[in-house]
Amino acid sequence: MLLKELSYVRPNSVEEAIELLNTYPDAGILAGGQSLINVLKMRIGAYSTLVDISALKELQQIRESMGFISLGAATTYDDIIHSPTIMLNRPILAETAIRIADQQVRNRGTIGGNCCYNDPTCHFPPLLTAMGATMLIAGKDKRSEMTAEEFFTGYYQTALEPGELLVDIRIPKPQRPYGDAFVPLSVGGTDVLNAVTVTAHLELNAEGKLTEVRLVAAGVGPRPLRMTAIEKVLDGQPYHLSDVASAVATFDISALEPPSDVHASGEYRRQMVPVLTERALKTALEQVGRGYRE
Amino acid sequence: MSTLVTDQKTEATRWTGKNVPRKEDERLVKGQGRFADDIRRHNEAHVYLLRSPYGHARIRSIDVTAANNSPGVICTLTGEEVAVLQKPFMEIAPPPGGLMEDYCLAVGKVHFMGEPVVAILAETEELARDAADLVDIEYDPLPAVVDGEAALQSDAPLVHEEAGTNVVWHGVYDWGDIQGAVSRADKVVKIDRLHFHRFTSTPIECNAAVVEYYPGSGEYTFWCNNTMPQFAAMFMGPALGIPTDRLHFVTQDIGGSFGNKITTYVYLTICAILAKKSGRPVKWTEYRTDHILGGSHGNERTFRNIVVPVMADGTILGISATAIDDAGAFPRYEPLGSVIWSQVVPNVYRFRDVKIDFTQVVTNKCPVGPNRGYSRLQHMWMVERIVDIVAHELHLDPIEVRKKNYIQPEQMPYETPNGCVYDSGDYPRCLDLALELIDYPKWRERQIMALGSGKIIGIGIGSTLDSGTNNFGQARIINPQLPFSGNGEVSNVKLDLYGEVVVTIGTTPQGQGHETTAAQVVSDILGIDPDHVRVLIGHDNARNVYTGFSGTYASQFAVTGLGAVQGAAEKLRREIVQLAAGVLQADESEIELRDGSAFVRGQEQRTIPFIGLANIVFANNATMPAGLDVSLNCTYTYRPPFSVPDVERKFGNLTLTYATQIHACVLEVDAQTGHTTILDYAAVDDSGRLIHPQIVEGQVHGAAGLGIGGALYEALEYDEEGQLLTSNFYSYKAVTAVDVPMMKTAAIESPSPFSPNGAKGMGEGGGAPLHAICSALQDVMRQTSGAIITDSFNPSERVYWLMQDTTKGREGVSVEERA
Ligand SMILES: Cc1cc2nc3c(=O)[nH]c(=O)nc-3n(C[C@H](O)[C@H](O)[C@H](O)COP(=O)(O)OP(=O)(O)OC[C@H]3O[C@@H](n4cnc5c(N)ncnc54)[C@H](O)[C@@H]3O)c2cc1C
Repeated sequence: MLLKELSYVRPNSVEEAIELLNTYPDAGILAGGQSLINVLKMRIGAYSTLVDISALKELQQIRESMGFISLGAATTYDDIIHSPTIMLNRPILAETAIRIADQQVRNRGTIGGNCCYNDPTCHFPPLLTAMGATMLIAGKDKRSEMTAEEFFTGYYQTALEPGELLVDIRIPKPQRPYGDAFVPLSVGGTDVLNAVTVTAHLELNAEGKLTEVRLVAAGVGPRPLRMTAIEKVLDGQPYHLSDVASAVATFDISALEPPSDVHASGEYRRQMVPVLTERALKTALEQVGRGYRE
Repeated sequence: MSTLVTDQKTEATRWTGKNVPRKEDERLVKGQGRFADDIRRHNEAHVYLLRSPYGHARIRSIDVTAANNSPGVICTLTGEEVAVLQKPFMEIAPPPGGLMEDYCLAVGKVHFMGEPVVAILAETEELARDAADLVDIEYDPLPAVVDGEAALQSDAPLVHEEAGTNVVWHGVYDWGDIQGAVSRADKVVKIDRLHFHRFTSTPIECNAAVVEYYPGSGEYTFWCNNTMPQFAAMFMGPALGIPTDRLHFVTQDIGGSFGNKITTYVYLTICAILAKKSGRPVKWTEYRTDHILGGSHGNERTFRNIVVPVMADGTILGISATAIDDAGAFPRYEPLGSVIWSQVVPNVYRFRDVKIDFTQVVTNKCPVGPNRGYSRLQHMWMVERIVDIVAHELHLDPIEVRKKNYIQPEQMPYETPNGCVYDSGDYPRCLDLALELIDYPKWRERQIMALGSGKIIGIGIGSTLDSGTNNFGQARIINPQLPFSGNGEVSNVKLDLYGEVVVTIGTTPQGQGHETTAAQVVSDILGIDPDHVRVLIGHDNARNVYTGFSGTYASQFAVTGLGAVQGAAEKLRREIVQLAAGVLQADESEIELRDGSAFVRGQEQRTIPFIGLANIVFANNATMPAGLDVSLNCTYTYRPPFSVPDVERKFGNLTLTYATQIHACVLEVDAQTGHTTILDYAAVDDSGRLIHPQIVEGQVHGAAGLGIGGALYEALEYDEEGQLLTSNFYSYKAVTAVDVPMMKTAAIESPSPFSPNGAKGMGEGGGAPLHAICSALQDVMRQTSGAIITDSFNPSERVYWLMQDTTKGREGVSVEERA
C-alpha cells in the first residue's frame, strides 16, 4: 500500500476517541491528514491504528465567551477563514489560515493538527504563542490545560502525553486596543516554506503605553522563541514609538542557533530575525495606534 | 495579453494562421484523455522499484527471499539476473564515455541515489511496495563525487571504474581567431567562473507504461508515454538481443514531457524483462518522488576561465571558455549535449572568434535528459551573462550593448562562425517591442524614485534563440562512427471508406496541439473544415507511419511534422483532383475542392463529394476511370535540406530554423531580505509564420513559467554524499501559477525561407527568463554592492548575500586594459 497496512477507527465522541487511543496499542490520531498521511506514505513513521477525529462535531466549534474565543482542535482552516466570530474578534487567525497552502489543504487541515504536528514551518505554533493561547487537553480520566508556550516543546514535539488529545484552543479577546502581526519569510515562491516567521502581539493600557508585548520568532530553533529582551524594552513605551530598530537591536541574535537546510542557511535565518521583527512590530504598532485613536 | 505585429502578410489562407478551437481540448478538459496509466490489460501485474538510498555504494548482497514469499508477489528482479539477461545499453560516445556500462538495474554497485536496485512484481501495486520493505540489501557506501569540476580531479572517486575516468567526452571547439581578437581588443574582460545549476521541468504526468510480451511472435508491446520511441528502440533492441521491430510502441495522450520522457528506455527494459519472466502484462507507474529522484534532470554546467575581448564601446569580439558539463551517473542521451549547444554559438550576436574547451563528466547524481531548452540554454545563459557583465564592468547600458552586438536583420540569412545558418529574424525590433510592452522609460524613472525605499528595482533582458529541426549529423562531431544525419518526419493523409479525411503522424504530442495544427494545414489544402479532419495522434510503429526521428522533441513539429502533413495532403489533393477530373470528365486544372466536394470551376452542378470518390476507390472500383492509379492513401516524408557537417572543423548547419525570444523583466528586490518579486514581464517572439498564434502563445507562457521557476525557486541540490535534498514537491519548489506574473506577449513573423511553410520550431524556448532575471538582478547589484551574478539560480538568500558583500561578490571578475 501507499501506507503500511493499518486499522482505522472513527469514534463518535471525544470520550470514545480517548478510550480508543488508550485501548489500541500504538494508536495515532488522524485529523485532517494533511501532514500525517504524508509521513505514513513516506514510511518515516507508522501507526497500527488511526483514530479519526475529523468528523467529531464537538471538536469543530468556534465559540465566543467573556474573555476569549475558543476553537475546537478539529476546526479546519477553511472554517476559520469563514468564521464571523473570528473576523470580529481575532482576524489575524483567518489572515494566517488563508496563507496556508491551497484550498484542498485548507478544506481538510485543522488548527489542532497544525499545532500537534509542530513543524518549524507551521503557521499556528508561533501565532498562538504570541497570542497567549491556552491549550486544553483531554486524557484518560483527566483534563488539563497549559499555555501555548509550554505546549510547543521542540521540533515536531509537544507536551502531549501518549493517549492524550488536544481538544480546544482558547484565545484571549483583548479588552484593550491591540495589534497582531504575522510576518513570514517565504523561500519557496509565493507564500510557501516559511524559513523564518516573526509574530508580534501588543496592547495599549489606559495611559497609552504598551503592555502585553509578545514577540515570537519561529524557524530559528526547536520551538517558537519569545524574544523577551525586546518585549521588556517595549513594555511601558508610548505606542507612537519611533525608534523600533534600536528596541529590536537589544535582542542578541548571535545567541541563536538556527538550523541550516536546503532552503536557508542558519546564518541567513539569524540575519532575518531582526528584519522581520521590525516589520512585525511596525505593523502591530500601526494597528494598535489606529485602535487607540478610534 | 498578446499583440500580433504582422507586417509581412503571408498569402491568405482560410484556416492556417487562425486560432481555431483546439481539437484536443474537449476531451482533455472533460477528463476523457487516454494516458499511459489509463491503460489496463487483463491479468496485469504491478511493478515496484526499490531504489538506492545511497549516492554511491557497492552492493554487498541482496536477499529477496522474504519478498518473494510475501503475499501476492509474482517475482523479483535484481542486477545479478539483469547482467545475464541484458547486454549493457549502447553508448553514443566513443571511449571513454563509450566504455561506461549501463544496465536497467544496478549491477554490482549503485551510482546515484534513486537508481533502481530491485524490481518487485506483484498482483497489486500495494503488495509490490509492501514486499519491497522485506528486501534485505547490504551496501558498502563509497565516497561520492557530486560536482563536475571535482569529477575531473585525479583523486576523484570513479563513477564507472570500467571507463577509468569520469570524463564522458572532451573536445575543443575553435572557430575564428580568439588570440587575434584578444590582441585587437581595447579591453579583455575575464570571468573566473559561471555556474548553470541543475533543475528540471516537471511534467504533471510521471513516467508510466504497460508492457506485454507475446511469446508467439517474440514481440513486446509498450503502451507508454516515451516521447521518442525509435530512439528507445535503438537502445533496447541490442540490449535485449532482439530485432528492434519486435518492440512495438504505442503512445496516446501524454501529460507533458519537456524532453524528460525520452530516456525512459531504461525503465521500459525493466518492464520488458519482467513481462517475459512472469508471462504477465506488467504495469508500471512512477511516483512523484521516484520521478524527481530517478527520472531525468537538466544539464548542470560550469564555465571556467572566460575571456572576452571587447572594444571600448562594448563591441564584443569573441569568447573563450572552458565548459564542464555534469551529466549525472549515466550518459544515456549524452554526450549529445556536448555538441547541441553549438547550434547557437554566438547566440544573437555578431562576434566571430570563439574557443570552447568542452568536457562532459559523470557524477553520482541522477542522469540528465534533454530537458526543455536542452544544452543551448546553458550556453546562451553564459553568453547573456557575459553581455551583462561586460556592460557592468565597462559602465555601459546593457541594452545598448545588446543592440550594438546584435546580428542585424539585413544580415539574414546569417552564417555563424561554425556554419549554422540563422534563417531570418529581427532582434533589434523584438527588443524594442519588449521594451515598449514594459514601458521601459517609466521603469527607469521608478527605479530612481525607489532609491532608498528599501526596494531596489532591476530591469533585465534575455535575448535567445530556439534552434529547431536538428541536423542529426551533428552527432558525428561527437562520434564520427555514428550513421546519422539529417532529420525528418512522416505523415499519412487519406480518405477513408466514407470520405473521411484521416491524418496520422509519427509524433508524440504532449500538449502542443498537433491535432489542431495538422487539421488546419490539411483543411486549407483539401478545402474542408478542420472539424472534418480526424487526426490520430500518437506513435504506433506497428500500425502507423514513422521514421527513425519520429517523436516530439527539439522544437521541430511545425517544420518536420507539418511539413510531412503538408506533403501528404498535397499528394492526396492531386489524387482527388485526378480522380474527380476523370469522373466529372473535366480537365484537372478545372477542379476545385471546397466543403468536402470536388467541383468543376464555375459549374456547381458538376460535382462529386469525397464520399463518392472514396466509394469508387474502396468499394466500387470497377467504375474507376480508365488508366488512373490512385489509392487516396498518401504518405509523405519531409526531409529538411541538410548536409553532413564537417567533423574535423566541427562546422556545418546544425539546425534548420531559429526562432527568436526576447524577454524583458522588471523585478524588485527587498533590500533587507533579498526576496525577489517580478513587477512586469514581457516576452516577444518571432517564430516565423504562425500556424496557430494561441498555441504558440501557450508555449511561450509555459516556457516562461518554467524559466522563472528555474531562476528563482527550482534546484536539484545534492549533499556531498550524493543525497538529493529536494526529492519531492515539498522541497523541490516547482513553479506554480501563483508564482508566474501576468505576462505581456507580442509576436512578429519573419517567415523562415527554409521551412516548407515559413514556420519555425519554438516549443522549447531558449531559457530567456533565466537570462532576463539574472540580467535584472545584475541591474540591482549595480545599485548596491556591485556584485556579479555568477549563478543561474538566485533564491532570496543568494541575492541577500550578494547585496551584503562589496568585495567577495566581485571576486573572479577583472578587466584588463590593453595598450
Ligand atoms: C501541500 C501542503 C502544503 C502545506 N503548507 C503548509 C504551510 O505553509 N503552513 C502550515 O502551517 N502547514 C502547511 N501544511 C500542513 C498542513 O497545515 C497540515 O494540515 C497540518 O500540519 C496538520 O494538520 P492536519 O489536521 O492535517 O493533521 P494530521 O495530518 O491529521 O495530523 C498531524 C499530527 O498531529 C496529530 N494530531 C492531529 N490532531 C490532533 C489532536 N487534536 N490532538 C492530538 N494530536 C493530534 C496527528 O496524530 C499527527 O501526528 C501543508 C500541507 C500540505 C499537504
